[in-house]
Parts: sequence; C-alpha cells; structure tokens
Amino acid sequence: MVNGLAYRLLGGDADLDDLVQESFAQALTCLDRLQNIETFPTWLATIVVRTSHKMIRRRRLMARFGLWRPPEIDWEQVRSQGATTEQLLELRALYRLIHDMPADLRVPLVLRHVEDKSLQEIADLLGSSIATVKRRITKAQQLLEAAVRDERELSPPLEGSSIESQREHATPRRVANQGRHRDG
Amino acid sequence: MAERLADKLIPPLTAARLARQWRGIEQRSQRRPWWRPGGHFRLVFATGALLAATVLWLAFGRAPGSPEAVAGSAFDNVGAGPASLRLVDGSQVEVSPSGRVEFEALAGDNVELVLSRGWVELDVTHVPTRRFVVRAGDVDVVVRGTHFRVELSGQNPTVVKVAVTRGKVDVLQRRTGTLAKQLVAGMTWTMGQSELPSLPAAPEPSAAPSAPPPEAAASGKALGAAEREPEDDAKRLMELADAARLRGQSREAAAALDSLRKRHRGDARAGLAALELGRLRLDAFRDAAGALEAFRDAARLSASPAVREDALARQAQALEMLGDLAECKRVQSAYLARYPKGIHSASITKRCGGN
Repeated sequence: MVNGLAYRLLGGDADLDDLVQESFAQALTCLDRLQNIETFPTWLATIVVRTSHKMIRRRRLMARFGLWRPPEIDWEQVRSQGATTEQLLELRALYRLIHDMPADLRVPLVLRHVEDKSLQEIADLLGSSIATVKRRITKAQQLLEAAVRDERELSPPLEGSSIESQREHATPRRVANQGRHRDG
Repeated sequence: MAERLADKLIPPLTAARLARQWRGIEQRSQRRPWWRPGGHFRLVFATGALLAATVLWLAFGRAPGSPEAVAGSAFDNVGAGPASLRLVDGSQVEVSPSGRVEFEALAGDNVELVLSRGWVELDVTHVPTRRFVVRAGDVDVVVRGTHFRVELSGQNPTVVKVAVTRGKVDVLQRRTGTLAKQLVAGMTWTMGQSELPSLPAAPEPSAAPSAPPPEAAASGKALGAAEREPEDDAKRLMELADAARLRGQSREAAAALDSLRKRHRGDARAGLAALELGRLRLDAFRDAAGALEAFRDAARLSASPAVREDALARQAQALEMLGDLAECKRVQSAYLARYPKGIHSASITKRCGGN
C-alpha cells in the first residue's frame, strides 16, 4: 500500500525508496501517537502523503537549479497491469503535466483523480479543510487546462486533419468531469 | 467492478527491493536526535509494535472474505458501494449500490439468479454441463465460465444491458426461449421494451471483431440490438481491441483498431486507435512501414497533445527501423524542437544514428 501510494504521488520510480523509508521511519518515531490500531492504514497513508508533499516541494526547488529531473513511469509495465488504452492515455496526460505543478496543487489532484479519494478523505490526509482542498483541486484543473491550451498553440494540427470535427477534450477526462466523484 | 486509475499504476517491486527498503528504514530510525534519550530501546519497541500492528492488520483489519450466497435468499445492497458475494463453486457476484439480486437456485447443475434492481457483475467458474442463468427484465443471460455484467435501467427495468469481459453468454428471450443474442468477450448489448419476442432470432454474431454487428436483415429491425450510434460503435471497437490485447490476441486487436480509425475518423478515439495500431504493428508484427503509416495517421487524427507527441516520437523509431535515417533525423529535430522536455526526448536523441 505504501509503495503504491508513494509511487503514484511521486509520478515514478525515482525517490520511491527514499519516500517509503522516510515515511516508515517517521511512523516508527510517532507510533506512540497511534491510539486505535484499526486506523493504522489511514494513519500510515497520512504520513506518506505529508512526507511526499515535502519531498515534491524540495525536488521542484532542485529542478529549478537543474539538480533534479522528474521521474518517468514505465508505461509498458502499466499496460501489462491490464490498463485499457484510454486509461493509459488518461494517466499519461495527467502525469505529463503535473510535474511542473506546485505540491500544494499536485498532491490533492493525484489523490482525487488517481486514488479516487473523496474531498473529506483528502482533507484528512492533508490536514486541511474541505474548502481548501476544493480550491486547490480547482486551481490544479485550471493549470492543467491552461497547459493543454499552450500545447495546442505550440503544435497546431496538420493541414487537412480531422481534428476540427472531434469532440475530444485533450484535458484528461477526469479532470474535466467535475460531477463524477463521490464527495465527502 | 469499479476500478480506480490507481489500480493500474503499481510500482515494480521485488523481494530484494523490499529488503533494501527495510534496511534503509532501520538505518534512518537509528539516527536519533541527541535530545531523544533511549533511542535504541524505542527503536526495538517501536519496530516490534509496528510489526505486530502490521500482522494484526493483515489478519483482521482487511475486509473479510466475500459472504456466501444461499439458495432461496435475496440480497439487497444497502451500502454506498458495490458488494461482493461468493457462490459455493467460487464464482463471484458483485451487486451495485441499492441493487437487489435473488438466488432462486444454487444447485450443482443449475444456478439461477434474478436481478431485480441495479446491476450485477459476475465472474463465473466454468463447470461443464452446469446451467448458470441470470434473469433480468424479460431476458435470461445464460453463461458458462465467463466474466460479464447485467444491468437493469433505473428508468425502465425492462431495459437490460449485458457486457461480456471474458468468455461467452447467450441472451435468451424468456417467453419464447429463443436466442436473442450471443455475446463474446468485448461485446456490449442492450435490449429494450420495444424489441420483444414476436421478432425472429438474431443471426449468429460475426467472428471478425472488427466487423459491425450483424443486423437482423430479413426481418428489418435488429432484434434486441439498440440502434448503434457511430460513437457506440467506435467505443465498442476500442473495447474489443482492449479485450483482445489483454488476451494476447494482437491480430484481433489490430483489426479492431484499424477498423475504428478508418470508419470513425471524426471520433475522439480515432487518433488513439491509430497510435495503438502503430505500436502493435511495430512491436508485435515488426511491420515498420505499416507502423509509420499508422503513426502519421495518429498525428493527423488526434487533438490530444499526448497522442501527437507519442506519434511523432514513434515515427522516428519506425523510420530508423526502415533505415531512412535522413527522414528519421528530420522527425527527430521536429520532436526536439516541439517537445524539448518531452518524455521521449532522451530516447529519441539516441535514434537516427545519433550517440
């Protein structure tokens, strides 16, 4: 569970071991604060989410100085997990764009659209209010849409293409679809 | 069964890696701040407690195994999410939220379920000579070993939708016992109130996954098959392709994708289908020329920046395989100019005789 959640928050394999080790080390340090053993998975997930948040912020700062490159996901391996073509495209589009996003926006976006968490669950994991989470997810979606628009301007369609007749939104479908999720 | 995107994004883990992670955890935990006395004792105690907590969680904290269904009983799912039930033979039945299913018969040679509300999704264990039936609306869905879903419309409970993921099902009209439709893996079919027993049985389904579903030509209106909109057909072809690919049937997948991108060029999926077709041609069939054609088509058809980026990068790969290094270099330059931080920038730099 920890490895999977960490992998999806980081968007790849690089730094995964670092995040997992750091999360467990913190859990060991704070184990006396765990009051109900049944909440252990959620408690541990909270540590992973908050530790990843800090790690992503540090890495973004390092990237600005050219000291770090965003990780890549092995999409062939994702395909071998049984992902449909459309799921693969959705994931690739999302992870292509979120690496440039601040941690405050990126983490709730991944929790919402990849982990399928409710707003309440995300708020609990982050230690924020639901209103804050909603605001950040909305902002993240706006950034994604702006990034997609910029890309379209940089790479216009080829002459005579059928793109004008499409109904597709290049923004990942889940990002654009506000109404599908359950809300806490 | 409802899936999260997260279920498809799982890191590669080995026993060696996990062991390495645990060693790292131990080392980090041993670096205690100087103001925390008794660090090692706390580590031993905390490690033991953590392991105990993990064992207890694994043993008792996970959701219990699926409850077993009993003949003559009914199950109403009052939960917020789907509920799983298990039959004695190991078949799994998942019931939608607010759904209701009745277990009419659960004998060794005859299983009958009645779907009264919502949907059920089943993973049926293959048992030779056993009859396994799901009754919904006015149809009986008869299966062998297979994975499929039956859904009743919330607005009109006589409208029944059947989708097959694996295996084969026969959909029979209950009143006449005649075959309404036979569905194989990847097919989805809806039967409504207007398409009922007075019409003759539908012909056998076509064997070619890329062929359009057969219409009941002699009688005019297709029995049970909803009028298939082009978008539904494109969706169906994509589902067929995915199902074939998961079964390892690359040729069937390629046929479905080729059909989709040729017949539905204005559909949002056409570009993606062309890209996937190109990948199959290149990786599975080693057909670089065919792959190049498909990748170029993908770049023409799709508005998705992700698809177009991939299509351009893959063109370079196909051109390299064909030995056309001049064109390969041109595409390589175009890619790097357009996507300097692209996900293929590292790999494409090494192509076309470079590095």
